[in-house]
Amino acid sequence: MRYIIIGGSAAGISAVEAIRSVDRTSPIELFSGEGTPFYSRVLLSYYIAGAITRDELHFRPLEFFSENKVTAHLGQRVERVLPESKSIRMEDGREYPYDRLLIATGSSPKILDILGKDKKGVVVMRYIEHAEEIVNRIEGMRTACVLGGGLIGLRTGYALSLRGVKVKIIVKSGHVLSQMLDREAAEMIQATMREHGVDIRTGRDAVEIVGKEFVEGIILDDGERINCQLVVVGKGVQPNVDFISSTQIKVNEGILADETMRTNLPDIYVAGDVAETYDLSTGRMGVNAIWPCAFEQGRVAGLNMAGKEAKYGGSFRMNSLDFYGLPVISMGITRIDGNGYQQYQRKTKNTYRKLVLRDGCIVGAILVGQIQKAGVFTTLLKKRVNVSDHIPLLMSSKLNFADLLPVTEQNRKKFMEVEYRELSQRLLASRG
Amino acid sequence: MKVIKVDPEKCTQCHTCDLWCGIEIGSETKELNDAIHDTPQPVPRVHVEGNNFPLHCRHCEVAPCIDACPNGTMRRDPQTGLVYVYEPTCIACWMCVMVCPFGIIAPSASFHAAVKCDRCRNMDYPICVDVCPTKALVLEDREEGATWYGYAPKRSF
Repeated sequence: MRYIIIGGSAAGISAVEAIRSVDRTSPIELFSGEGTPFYSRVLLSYYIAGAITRDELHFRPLEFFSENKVTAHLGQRVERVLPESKSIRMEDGREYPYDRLLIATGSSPKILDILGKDKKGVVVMRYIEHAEEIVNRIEGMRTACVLGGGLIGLRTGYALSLRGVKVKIIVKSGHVLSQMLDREAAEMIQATMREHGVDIRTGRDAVEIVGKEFVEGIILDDGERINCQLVVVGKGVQPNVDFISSTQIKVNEGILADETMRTNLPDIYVAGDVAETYDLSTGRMGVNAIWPCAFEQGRVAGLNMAGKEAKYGGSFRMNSLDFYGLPVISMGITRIDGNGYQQYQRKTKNTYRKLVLRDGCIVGAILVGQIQKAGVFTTLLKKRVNVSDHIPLLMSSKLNFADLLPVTEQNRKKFMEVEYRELSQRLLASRG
Repeated sequence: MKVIKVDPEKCTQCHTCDLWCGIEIGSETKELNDAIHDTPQPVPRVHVEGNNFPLHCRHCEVAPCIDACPNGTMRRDPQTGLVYVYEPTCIACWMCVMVCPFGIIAPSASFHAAVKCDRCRNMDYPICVDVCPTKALVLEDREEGATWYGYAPKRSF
């Protein structure tokens, strides 16, 4: 068996680990367009903040490839996939044959269409080079503008603020993080950030980036000019699918994956930000470009590639952030549009909890301030458990797993993993 | 792989398990009289939940916390299969908290780290099982055939 993996981030590395848990000897070749292996994009803002060093960006040790007998081709782009001859072709024309192929090429930042976007000091945060560029400019930087209220932009802004840079965040919509939070939760974050001196302008858009060679400022749609030495652009990401355009591989927004993480073609699998999977919260196919999904998908793909059956239950969007000690976790659908949903909210001075249900099952949640039990919601969402009889417990700050044991017993078939069976068997036995 | 199993019928809700866990595992000073003055306060790794259910990390076969961890801080002990936090690299991003099915990972702001039970993997015997006066907690083998996945570095720390 000859494995080829295109992509060396979360999904690709997870697939290597999965393949090696089954098949310790077959050759694995891994191709990555990036020269730096194993760095975690999630951590780039921590690097900018100075909380970790460049070496600490690694999520696996540098010996990973040799320990797992992987031939790594770093900094080398795959030009196309040739399913007919079961091979891939590189930009320089070389071809490599495969028996099983994994596409884990990730996503690229969407390009911002704005006058002056090519000036030096305009950074689209995505790769390690971008973070390094920001770190190299931090000395002497007084003001930075973040265009867009998405998570990457906000994290970068938060990191710069921790480094003493004056940060201004320009958000077109009514509040930050409109993809993952409702207004109540977003306003708690905005209040905290403003308390710490971050300037957040909602309902505003930048129309021009000004300066000569380097950025000197931005102009807003109301004509105001803000002087700054850095512009961070965070407008979201899109799957990297260009190199398969000549094939029959089915692409919608991302490459469509079945429940074994296979594409519509035999022996070609897909995982990570480039994959479009069944979304458990919306009930439709969708791309959820987040780290935990990439790792899980990579494992499922890798196991199936190595001949061990594994199923992927589906993805949903989730994220965790913590600015100035205010932790926030959100998942799934957090703002209702249309009928058929129930929502429950509870707000105190420093906490907020929201649950969104459809047909009695959790399809979304937000937790602000108190987050420890977030994973319980994640699990109930993932396993599509009807929780309509347990709303008071779920909405209470006393929520705990033990009190939910009756729910897992009622839904035994969905809690068949050994870690649950060990618990519930005991419970049933002891109740005689 | 040995795991801690719970018999809620035997649990009297005495909290001896979390008290001793906090002292032995959570505190620097290891003595109750000193530990109560520790700053930050020790975080126990076992939580007596509901009325009578002491709950720890269950060391899931497919551990979502290991998947979610963005820098390999959440790991498997390659010898025992136990899941643990390698605290020196924890950046307190709470991705593991977000996915823990049992809600037993404590996002500790004061320790700036995710805190959870590692089943006392560096000790001969888990302290909570040792001190439980009614044997509501026991150390037993996981059923045969159970496997596990997730990052297990060759060198275990």
